[in-house]
Amino acid sequence: MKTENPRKPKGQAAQTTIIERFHDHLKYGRGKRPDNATDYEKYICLCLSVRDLAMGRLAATEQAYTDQSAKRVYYLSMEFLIGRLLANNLISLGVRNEVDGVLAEIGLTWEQICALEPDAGLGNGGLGRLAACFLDSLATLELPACGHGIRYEHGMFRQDFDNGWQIERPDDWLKFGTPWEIIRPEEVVPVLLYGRIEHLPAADGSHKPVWVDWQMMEGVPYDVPVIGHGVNTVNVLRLWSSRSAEGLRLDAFNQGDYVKAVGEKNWAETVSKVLYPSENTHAGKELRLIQEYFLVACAVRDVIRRHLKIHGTLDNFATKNALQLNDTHPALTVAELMRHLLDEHGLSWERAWELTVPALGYTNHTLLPEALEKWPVPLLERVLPRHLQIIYEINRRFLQTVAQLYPGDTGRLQRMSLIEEGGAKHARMANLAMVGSHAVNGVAGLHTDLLKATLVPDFAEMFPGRFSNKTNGITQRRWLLACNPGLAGLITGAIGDRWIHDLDALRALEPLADDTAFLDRFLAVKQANKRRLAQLIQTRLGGQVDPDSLFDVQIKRLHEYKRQFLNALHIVALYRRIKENPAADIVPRTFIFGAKAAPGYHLAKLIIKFINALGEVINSDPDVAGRLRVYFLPDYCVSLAETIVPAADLSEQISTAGKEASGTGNMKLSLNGALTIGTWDGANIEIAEAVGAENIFIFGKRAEDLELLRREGYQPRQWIERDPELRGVVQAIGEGWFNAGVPGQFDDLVRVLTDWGDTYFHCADFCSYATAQQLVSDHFRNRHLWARTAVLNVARMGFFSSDRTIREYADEIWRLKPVKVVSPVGKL
Amino acid sequence: MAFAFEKKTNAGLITISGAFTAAISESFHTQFVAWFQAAPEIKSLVVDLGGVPMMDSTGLGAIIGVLKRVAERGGGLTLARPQKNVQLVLQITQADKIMKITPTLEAAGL
Repeated sequence: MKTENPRKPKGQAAQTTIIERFHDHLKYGRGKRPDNATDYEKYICLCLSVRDLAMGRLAATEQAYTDQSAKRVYYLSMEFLIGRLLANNLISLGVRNEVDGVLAEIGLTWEQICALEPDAGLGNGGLGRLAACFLDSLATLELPACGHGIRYEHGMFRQDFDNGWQIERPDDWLKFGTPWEIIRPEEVVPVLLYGRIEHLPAADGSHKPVWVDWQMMEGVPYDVPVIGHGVNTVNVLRLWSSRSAEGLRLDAFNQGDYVKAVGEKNWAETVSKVLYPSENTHAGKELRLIQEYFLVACAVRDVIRRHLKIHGTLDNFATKNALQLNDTHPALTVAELMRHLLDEHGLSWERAWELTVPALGYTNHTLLPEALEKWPVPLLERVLPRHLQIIYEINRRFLQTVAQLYPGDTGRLQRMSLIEEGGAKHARMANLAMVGSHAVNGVAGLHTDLLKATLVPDFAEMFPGRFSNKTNGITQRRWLLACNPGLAGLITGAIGDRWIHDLDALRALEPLADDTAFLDRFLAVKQANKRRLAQLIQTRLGGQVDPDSLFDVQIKRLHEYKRQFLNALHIVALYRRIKENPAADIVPRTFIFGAKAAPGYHLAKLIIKFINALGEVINSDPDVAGRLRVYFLPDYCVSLAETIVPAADLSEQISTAGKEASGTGNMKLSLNGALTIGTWDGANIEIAEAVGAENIFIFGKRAEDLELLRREGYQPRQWIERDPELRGVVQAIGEGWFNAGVPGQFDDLVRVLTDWGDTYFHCADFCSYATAQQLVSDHFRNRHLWARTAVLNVARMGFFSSDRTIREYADEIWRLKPVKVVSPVGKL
Repeated sequence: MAFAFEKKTNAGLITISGAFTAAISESFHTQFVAWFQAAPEIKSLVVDLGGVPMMDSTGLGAIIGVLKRVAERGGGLTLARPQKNVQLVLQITQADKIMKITPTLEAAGL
């Protein structure tokens, strides 16, 4: 059998194939000719033509996994922030350049076709984007993998501003369907909820627990191909959509009760209707619990079905399957897999546990105690009565072991129990995940250390071999090759393209950091990217943007611990300096924000309003004379990030130390040549170690310092009094400099600092932050020095590829081996 | 949706056709009770589910009602020929632990 070289440029043949398929899809799929097709129809047909190129490999991949009886990993995540797929798929298939010819023929530009694609926002932020990066790496590394998620009809809400206030609109990415998915009706699964357990007599005279009075819905799988870059592997992201098992109630319909007729249908469809905004704290929300169980129920049944189809026995289940739980959201997998093995396959408890624990791995993503999911026991009992029984039994057996290991330590028993006692009972999902998984990992070095030392020390002590660190990563295929073609081209021209599959190869750039001609080309690329972003800002927000100014970027979810407010306080400080001395020598800066606040998070929304108010005042103040500009771009999403990241000069990673698990925006920005100003938190620490302390602006107190400060009784008012600049900043806000005629509008923000304890230590870190920002400005004045530092950052970012992260998971947790997929020539 | 209640040599045979859901379970229960009370000699029952593509919890509840009635007479209940989806529901709920399931009517003794 001849095999094609997947990395060989496809050239004219590929272009011809795409054009032929495009015309076929237009003619036979849409009933249109090129001269009367809309741009949207052209976009759909182009996507389908590109998808066609991957379909043969999709089938070949599944066949290879089956033929080789390969172990597979299933990545269970409530969020997959995949964004737009067209550009990435073209690049992965090696036909990006060929499509320019296609576009010329169909009369569209690259920018036009990209703008037609909805941004699939099936996630809130880092956790969901990480899952998407992991899928890209898994496919590119030829690892047998499948993502399982929910096909939310409405993804992350669309954000607008009304007089500077965030308003939310529903996202409608599936309004006209998506060309990338393939429905698999033959693999629909039932999902049961609610009801109670009744003990009924069996033929042998014993009584058996039977689940009665349940409600049933169905999970419908939609497969999105995940195309490996430069390989034949095409994995799948399987997104589940809920629907009624019964459909329309014809009896009710025929009796004229139309509402009842569709009632169950509507209830079932609600489950996959909308993504909950905010990554944290959904406690008590019944629909969220049902969503989490829906994902777990669909995924586990799918995994077992596939396994039995290939292997015919469950004996080797744990050696052939790894299920990775992305945070506690899919933690019910522990109980669901046990339920399958016990109830549906008749295994003993001991045997079921032997198969469950080695198959499961759990990734913790947060140190915020309030974000550790806990479900009220009465709610669990009502929604998942059988699962609660299983959780109780897991707990009973587990606590027996704890009691044997630590006799008389009742405090430890209480802390480690899967059930939180005292007042209302809650089931602790993190404890369930840790007890039911053979591997538990944090997502950055500091995070893992703190996880073991402060969040769950009892578990770390009892299971020392179970805990490990897997520092997050990003895929360089999307976050450099696709989003920054200028820099990607410059790098490839200088050192070749090995970095696309081996990011450590960027090390070869280091000598070029002292090559003035290279630095000039580097700066030219950055400048072009900044002009592109400036144009976008001007189009969306109006006003003038100076591409020569320092682009100071903070893009991430809006949360107090991420401290967008600290950034805002520094902007006020700079503004005050100008107001006090209009001739002050200040490096011109354009502050660019992108962030969505959870709709119910009052303070986060107030911070957005405040930053917008800063922009209103500062951007139009003649004293400022354009030296400071503040822009908050609405509707931050993956595709907007793909424009902002390549244009950033400075990356703001300023979370309160000990609060950010890892962060991945820090990696994306640094990889694209932005310098980082950051705290000693999350992956910033490892970035600092990689790029060198002299090439990053680290400031602020460390986690242990803050803990000490907290214990000694942190008094933010004292910090304000001690620092004249901070005092002036707080006074300016309190005096209403930015209130725009609404007295007291930002008083709550002042109270955060003065009266409410400044939980996230803005005041304690302000002086250090302002000092570091001054160093940034001084550094920026020397363009070649700045460029040199930026090039060194890029060159030393190899560690932060998600390829490295996935290799670590594959080797140390999943024990997963690559599978070579051979694609026959001519059968695309 | 249709039900048929027949007395065979060894057992009573109940044949159900169509989705067995809340829409018809009450009607089924009424007809079953009337038929079963009129045939006190029937000790065992077979329910032929071959024509049932889908069963919800009220359908299962109706079957459990049948089981309880036949148990009062000291007899047994067999579910014959369940389709894939119905079989799955019986497994998930563990109803298959309290009722005999057979792939054919012959295997059910008819």
